[in-house]
Amino acid sequence: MIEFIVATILIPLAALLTGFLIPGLERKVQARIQQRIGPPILTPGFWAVLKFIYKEKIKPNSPMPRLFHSLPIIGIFIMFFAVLFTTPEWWNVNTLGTVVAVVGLLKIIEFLFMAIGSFSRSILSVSMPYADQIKGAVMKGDYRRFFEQQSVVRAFKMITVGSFPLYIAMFVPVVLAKSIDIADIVKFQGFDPSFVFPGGIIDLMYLDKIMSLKPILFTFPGLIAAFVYFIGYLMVLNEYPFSIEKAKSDVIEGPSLEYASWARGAYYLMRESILFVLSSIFITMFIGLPPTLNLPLLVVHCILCLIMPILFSIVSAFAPIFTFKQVYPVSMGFTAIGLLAMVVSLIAVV
Amino acid sequence: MGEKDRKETAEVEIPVGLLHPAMLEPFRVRFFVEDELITDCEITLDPYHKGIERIMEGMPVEKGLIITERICGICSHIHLWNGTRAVERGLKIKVPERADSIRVIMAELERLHSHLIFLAHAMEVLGHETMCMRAFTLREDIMDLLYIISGNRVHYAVPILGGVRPRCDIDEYRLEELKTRLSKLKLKIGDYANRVINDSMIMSRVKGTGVLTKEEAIKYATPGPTGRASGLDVDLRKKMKEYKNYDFDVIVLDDGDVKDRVVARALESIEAVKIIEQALEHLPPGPVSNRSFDVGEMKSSISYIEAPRGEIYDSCSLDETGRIRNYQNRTPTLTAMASMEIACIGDQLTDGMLTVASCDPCLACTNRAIVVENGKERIITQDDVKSLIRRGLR
Repeated sequence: MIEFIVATILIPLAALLTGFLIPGLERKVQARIQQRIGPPILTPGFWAVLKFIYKEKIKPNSPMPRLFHSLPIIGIFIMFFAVLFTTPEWWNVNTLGTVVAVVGLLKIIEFLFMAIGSFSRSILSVSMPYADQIKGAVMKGDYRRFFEQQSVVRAFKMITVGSFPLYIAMFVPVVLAKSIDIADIVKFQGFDPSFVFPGGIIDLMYLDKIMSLKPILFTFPGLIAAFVYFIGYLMVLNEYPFSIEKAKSDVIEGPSLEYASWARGAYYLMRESILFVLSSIFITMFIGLPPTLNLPLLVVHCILCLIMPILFSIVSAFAPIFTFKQVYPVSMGFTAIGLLAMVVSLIAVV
Repeated sequence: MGEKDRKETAEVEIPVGLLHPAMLEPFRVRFFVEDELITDCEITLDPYHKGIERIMEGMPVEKGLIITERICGICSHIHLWNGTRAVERGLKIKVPERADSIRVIMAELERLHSHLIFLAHAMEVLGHETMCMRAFTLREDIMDLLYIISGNRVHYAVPILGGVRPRCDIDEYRLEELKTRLSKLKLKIGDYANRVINDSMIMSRVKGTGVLTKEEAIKYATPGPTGRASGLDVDLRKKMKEYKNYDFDVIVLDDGDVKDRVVARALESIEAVKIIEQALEHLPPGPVSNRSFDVGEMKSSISYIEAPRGEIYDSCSLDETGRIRNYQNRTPTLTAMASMEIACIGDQLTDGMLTVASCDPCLACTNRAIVVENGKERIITQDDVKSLIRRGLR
């Protein structure tokens, strides 16, 4: 029971601490590619959040400001639960440690962006006055849509189309391990829960056992699925080149336009949590190293979680934003590759 | 019409602007969309005026002309040159050949500067931050060259009536420095253009986007590289006496999409380097200014010039004391933006902003285009424009 409580506190804390580093690393890598120095590593992820907390509170133009403000906090908690479901201490709690439960939470996060956009009414589009309207001109016969609402339409499309690759890739380890239980998937890759129990929280002797893991990543279907997962990761995160939901050239920041002061800070934290959790799920499912109470293993897990954001910052530095003209074929293409990985893994299992 | 019917027929409008991060200056675009596709577009300019023409009225001509440089921070030299050119034409001032060459060098460096800002802005609107940054890095080298000649990076104040300022004369040291740096710059611009053209992700966004046909370009009098990217073979430089000694190609492309507008400017940048190299190689000796002229009453004198974005028109008249009686300046963005209203129809919404940006709009220069005659608005016909152009080029 104590281990359960400690894990419930420690692992989200580790997620948060690692999350503080991710935006800084992302910006630093992009800046180096662009021959700039870039900000200090902790500035965008930690100091910016802290700064926002102390900014003047601004009431949004949202029809439901309290709900609008609470959505990022809900998002952070959902993400913490998603990572907790992959920890050995939570595997046995009402069968929450399954891929289906994690996928369900990720789906809620995707929906959350739609909800955020639906409750936002920023000044930057419909509400911005122009001379003719100030003088009383009426825009007859048209429905004027806020940027955020347009962004919601895009978020909906991304839920239906853009998230295929990620979830298909997540089910390749399921097929290989013949189980939706995360416990079985990590055991299939050689992870033994006795790494953690009863060895104590700080025990370096378990570190060398990482070398004995047989990650799905190094199998043929696993490698393809990992590649597809990475593309799906970019799509679910709405990051370049799939950041159509927050395309700066038209809808600017998309759903989050009205977040200011502490709510903007909370939104940043939510993004950091999503960045960490999606990486963490990858490490758990494709390398077989879940976040555990064993501190050396947890540190290794967190360090491995930084690889995917670094890779995505490299990709995003070299890519423009795709419109749906490009998103549809790319998504379909990678879904097809994911299906191929699934078929190969089925053949391997049979 | 009942409530139900009205809802069914309502168009969805996405209002962009007055202020928007993708727009460098204030204007409003109303996109009418069906799902993500643009079915109609309305661009409204004129949210602000600097009143430069009015400020200039009553000022001594040389003092007034220097204000034309403040019309735009990107093509400041070309505005000053064209204003000066209009007055020189009216007062029949002879300009030394060396001064003409220095003016051409500055104009072409400014064209490079402007086209690189365009490329950077286009890449920013595309969402390609790295290529945007690289275009800005290249622009720094050009600003250094402008600094070497004029001593300034933005407002150069090179032309004066009768020539160029003595401080802007190109001596041996500057000549060698310019040649060396230009040869390196030429390679860098070529590399950059190749990177952009060979990037399949960028091309997938710009190819077939914002198509403006040649017929539409003629109908809307689309100026400069935007028109040339739609197949209009018009470049005033080919008719200007200052450019008659230079060998360069007019870049005319056929597809009329955003890709061609980007490529046209990239290729024009390389042509601009060619002109500068020729000008530096054959820089005529002699004085850089002819100050022996009298300033007195001057009837309206006009001049047209090929600025980086297209044709610029300037007209000036002076009173008997040599003060500006009336000054007018027209810039290419007005017709370019009108063309983009048509070009963006059928695009994805995100591509719509890219199309609008692809005409390289400059609102700071533009917001003065209301023709009023005897208190009534007058419509300028195509024949009027042709006649004005003929007078300007004479």
